[in-house]
Amino acid sequence: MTGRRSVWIWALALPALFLTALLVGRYGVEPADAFRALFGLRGASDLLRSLILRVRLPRTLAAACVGANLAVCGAVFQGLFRNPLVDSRILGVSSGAAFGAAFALLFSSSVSTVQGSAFAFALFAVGLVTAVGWRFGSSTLVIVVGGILVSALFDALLGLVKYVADPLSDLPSITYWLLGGLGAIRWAALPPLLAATGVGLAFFFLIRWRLDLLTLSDAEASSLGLRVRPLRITVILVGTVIAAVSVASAGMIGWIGLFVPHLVRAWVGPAHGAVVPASAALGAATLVSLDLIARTALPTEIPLGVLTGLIGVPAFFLLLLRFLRTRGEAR
Amino acid sequence: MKLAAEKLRYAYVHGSDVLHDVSITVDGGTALFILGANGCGKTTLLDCLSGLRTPHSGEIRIDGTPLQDLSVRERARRIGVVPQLHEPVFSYRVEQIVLMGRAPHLGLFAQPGHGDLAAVDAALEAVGAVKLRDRPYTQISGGERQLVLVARGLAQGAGCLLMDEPAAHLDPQHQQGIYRIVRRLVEEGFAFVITSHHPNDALLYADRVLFLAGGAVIGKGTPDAAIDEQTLRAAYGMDFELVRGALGTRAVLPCVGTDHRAA
Repeated sequence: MTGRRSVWIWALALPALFLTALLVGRYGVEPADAFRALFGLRGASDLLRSLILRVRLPRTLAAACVGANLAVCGAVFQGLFRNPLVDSRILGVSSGAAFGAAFALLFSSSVSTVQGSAFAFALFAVGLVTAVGWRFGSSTLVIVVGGILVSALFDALLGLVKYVADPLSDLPSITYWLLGGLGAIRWAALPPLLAATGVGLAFFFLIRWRLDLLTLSDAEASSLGLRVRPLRITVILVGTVIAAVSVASAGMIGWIGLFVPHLVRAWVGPAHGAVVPASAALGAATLVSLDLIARTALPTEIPLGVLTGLIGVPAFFLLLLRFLRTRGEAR
Repeated sequence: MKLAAEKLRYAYVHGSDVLHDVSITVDGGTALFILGANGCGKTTLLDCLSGLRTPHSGEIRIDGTPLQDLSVRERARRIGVVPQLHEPVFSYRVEQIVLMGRAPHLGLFAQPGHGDLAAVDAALEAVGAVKLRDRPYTQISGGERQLVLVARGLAQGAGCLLMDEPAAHLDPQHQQGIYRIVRRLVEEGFAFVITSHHPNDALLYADRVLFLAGGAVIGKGTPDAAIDEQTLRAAYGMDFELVRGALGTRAVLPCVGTDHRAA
């Protein structure tokens, strides 16, 4: 039960962390000033207040949503595919989104156009995978192989877009987008992200007990009265929507969907009733923290995808070592 | 409780029949053992009975209702499946594994409640596995897992349990442990359909026996009547000797070096 307690500690830590992210930034050195500005107290600077409300607040909200989505999608997909090494990328969400964003950047630099195109192609990629999977019986093997093939296809198309892109203007913006970041997020970009996050996370929370049953083999789940195929496809589609809307908002951010669910299972066990909310909380906390580091650690912003890799890889290595130790295969 | 299959025929794509005109009847309070060589259709028959595969012709009825008229959930409330030993990826506790048996009684968004936990308690009690409740399922022995999976079938509320090779990979003591529980549940009125590679298991624990060879029934009846030297030879392609021990137990001994297929 210590596991359950640490979930609640995280649940309380999250608002505190969120507040910190609002108060700390490159502009406004004194967090006390920022605090006064945020709550409209006496002596507050209007500029700082508008900065916090119009820039830091949407950005932090977006970080929380993206982190929660990627972590929950990773946790759910790991259970669904009975493979602890997959995350949302397994079905081609990222490759589709990357191509969609790069393709849009050839013609437009409007944030909403790029996000819309990234989202549409991410859905299209996974739609292709599930359609092919449905045709051949929707076994996890067929779906995973389909994901690998469709990812490869969109990676090739991305290469083609980069090849024909103007090397002086388009190519740098494509490269920059692919590195990931939340710097471009304003309120206008938030409604689709908030809506998809709310609906998606609520759905996974509601079916949390069924998700445990989906970790069984198809035959076993079916013998327990589950209609496996429609349930699996629904879970894949909802997971894809929350992952796609996240990637479209924040670019390529890896690792969170992989390592957050592992940490969570080590704490609270494998039952999705605990894994889904804990992954959402820890995923949100992780990305809010990383984004805070990304925008304050250096004079220029560190790309978020780079930062999650730099921190995520060592973290995952430590996790792997722990896993091998519990198996008695390493000291 | 009555499970009856009439003239089942099943074939894989591009293949000859795996099951050919197979008929069986199992009543509550009986254990039917299905015997036969590797590839004779035992597991396919079990898959048809559980609804996992649909026979190409013939009909399966449970308490008079055709199996295909039942929804997946209704089916799961009547027939439970105890799969062969399996290794789950995630380390659920035994209690959580047995609780999964409540799925056919719960809606899509429902969470298991007190009634479901009580069913889990009763099921664990019935198989004598209460002390395993909080252990991780990944860390208990093969024999214990079989018991837990039987308990899951009981938690489903199923009156008929299908077991695929329950004694595979178990030492004699654990085999007996499983079959003793099976016998106790049979006395309470449950029906069991059990596939086995061991005619001796059927002699010890079966009420009825069915021999399959090449997808067709070559013998059926009580163990004493159905297990004879001709049927064993037809089923396994080698000779056996039927012996009776000092305690009166009948047993089958293979006659070494009589493999007709090798000759």
